[in-house]
Amino acid sequence: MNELTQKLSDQGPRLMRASFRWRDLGDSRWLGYWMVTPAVLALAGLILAPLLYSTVLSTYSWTLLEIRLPKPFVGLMQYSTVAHDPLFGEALKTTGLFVVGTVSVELVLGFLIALALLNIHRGRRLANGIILLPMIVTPVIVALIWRYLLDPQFGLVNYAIHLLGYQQDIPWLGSNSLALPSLIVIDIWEWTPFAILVLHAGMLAIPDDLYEAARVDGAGAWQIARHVILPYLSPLILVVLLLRTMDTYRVFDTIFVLTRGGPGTSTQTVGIYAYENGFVYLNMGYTMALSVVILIAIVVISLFYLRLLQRRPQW
Amino acid sequence: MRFRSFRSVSLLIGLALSLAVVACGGESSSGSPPAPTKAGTPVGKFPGATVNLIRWAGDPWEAATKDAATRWGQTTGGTLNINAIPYENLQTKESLDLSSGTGSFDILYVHPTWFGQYASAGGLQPIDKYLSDGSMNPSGFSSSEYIPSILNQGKFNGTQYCLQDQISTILVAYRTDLYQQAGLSAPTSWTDLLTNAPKLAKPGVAGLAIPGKAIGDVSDIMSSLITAQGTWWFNPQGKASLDVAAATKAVQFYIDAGKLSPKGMLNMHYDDVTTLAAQGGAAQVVTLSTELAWLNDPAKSKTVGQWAYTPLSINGKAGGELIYWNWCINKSSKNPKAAYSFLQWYTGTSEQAKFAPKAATGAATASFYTDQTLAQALPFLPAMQQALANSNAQPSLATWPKLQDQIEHDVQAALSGTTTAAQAAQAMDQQLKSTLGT
Repeated sequence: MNELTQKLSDQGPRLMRASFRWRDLGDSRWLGYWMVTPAVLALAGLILAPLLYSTVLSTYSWTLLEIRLPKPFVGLMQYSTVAHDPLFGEALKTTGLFVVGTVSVELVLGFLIALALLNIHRGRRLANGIILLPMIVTPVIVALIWRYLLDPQFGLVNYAIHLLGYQQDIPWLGSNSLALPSLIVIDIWEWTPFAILVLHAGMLAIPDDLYEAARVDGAGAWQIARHVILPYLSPLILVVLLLRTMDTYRVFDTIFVLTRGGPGTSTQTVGIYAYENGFVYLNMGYTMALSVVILIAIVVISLFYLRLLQRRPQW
Repeated sequence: MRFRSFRSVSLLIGLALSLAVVACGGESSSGSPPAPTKAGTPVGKFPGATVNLIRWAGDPWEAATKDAATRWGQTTGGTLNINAIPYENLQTKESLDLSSGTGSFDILYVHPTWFGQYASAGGLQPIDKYLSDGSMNPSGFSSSEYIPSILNQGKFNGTQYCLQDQISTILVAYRTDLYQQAGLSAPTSWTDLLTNAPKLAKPGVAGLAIPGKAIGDVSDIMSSLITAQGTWWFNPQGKASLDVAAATKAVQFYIDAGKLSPKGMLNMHYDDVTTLAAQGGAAQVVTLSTELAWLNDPAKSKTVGQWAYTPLSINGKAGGELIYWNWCINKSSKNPKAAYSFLQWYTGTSEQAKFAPKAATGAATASFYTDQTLAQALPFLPAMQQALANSNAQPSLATWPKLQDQIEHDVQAALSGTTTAAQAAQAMDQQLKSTLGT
């Protein structure tokens, strides 16, 4: 223990405050506080304060053009409207389908591809690089690329299907039943690389001894995957689930560019619905209430995952 | 004493100089020219004044506005900055500027469906006094130069706020070569479009293409179809007045046309169906008149010179929705007179005629439509005039954005077979009644 810390522990925080000197920063317990202060301030200023203000504003009835006018206080009426809004219920269902459809396939596909990569020794880096490409493209650009790929008349996808002998133009984004699955496929194409990246890194971190021990015990490839790799990766799987669920729950850009929630309301997610209410109808009080409800749902889902993460079996 | 006189004279000279500087220095002056300005020339001198304009991005319109801004600046001494942003962000940016009262943008490009929201919130500058002020307009100018039915769209509660341009409507374009090959005569009603479509269709060519994307297209087409039948969504008092039988007929046409259209029409915008037609993929297309220039643009079309045009008609009566954009001045503008000077000049025939052949849009002035050179450059102008002779303007009620969404979803439900035409029309009627009252 150096001289300063000895003095601090002997004479308490009062002296600690009095004896603070910039040059002692690196040695004192102040350092930790100083280092987290900017982050805490930024979080409070940019996230917590607006969040609290939004919650307050959700108890008033007002439109975007009435910011400077007195706003009538309506209490929890907006929340009651949200609870009874059939369009919000529909948007919630669509979002649920989108989240389950994308996250489950991305995870399974990501795991299988990561496993395959583990067994590739030549060209693994190149394969990794190529696989990551969709993830690094801007989502709006991804949407525009797919808009042309899925065009019923001029798109490459229908062209390929025509070559296979099916001569009908398939309206991928222009049909109530196909639009949501098409958007799910696009999201899977874009974000499976994320699951691959995380899970593959996790697989590479598994000690070789474990594989060797399993092989010595007579385990085959499937048994190694099931009893060695999967348990070891469970925390990473939960991280992928958590991040992708949060991300897909608030999906907006791709859907906005491709279908804008249509046809009808078949691809209207909660994000699109909140946007319509806020920036088309300018109904901000209601949109704030919608946003708070959406946020609470994300927090609940995240807490569930985090709890699972804490309960995972320890190696 | 001599010293005091000298000081008084100096003060007077100083005061006179200050007044002169202020008088020449922009907005706080009258902004009026020393002599009457002739038509087609911007009015007023605004040295040092900066005017900010916001509009959606996209050529040839954006380029035309920028070019006009440069010339306006050269004549008046002012500076006009153009902020061209994606259409999707325009309403949000304008709303935030109006609500915060910062006046970042002096001139706003306002869609009719937003106009009611902006005007009712008191965000716009009245321009009645500018329109009637001789010193702010060219010699011989009168607001009667604007077509009254169009100019009136910029009025809210009897006060004029905006001037219009970008006039368009819904029209039908049909392939004359394919009509000739099929031995068909030109369509005169929308039922002709439906009966002729199967005779014109062949592999790779749809008999008819109509957009079905719910981003305003469906509502525009429905508005034209009900206008041709002599009904409208609401009456002059703003109360619901839809004739359900006429709406049912309109939705039924949409359903029948949708069946003849290429697959995926529910996600097709005007751009998509017009591109398809220009590439030879449709024999008839229902689209926005603004898009029709593409059909004869060799850079975008494989079917140049093979098109004729007609309005949407029923029982010998054509109808169309008057589609337009409003140019309005922000209530918080620091340079409203300079802003008006630009708008009065820019919305006039001479400026609009400069880019109309490329843009395929009409002006709000009557003289635009009697210009023979323009008639040659815009072959669909007669059909457009015919449609607009019996037209209703795109609604600008503050409640319209939500109603429009509901109407479009009702039509899409019928197009996808979830409901019938009659059920969709009934649903629209109910929504109109519950929002607007009866």
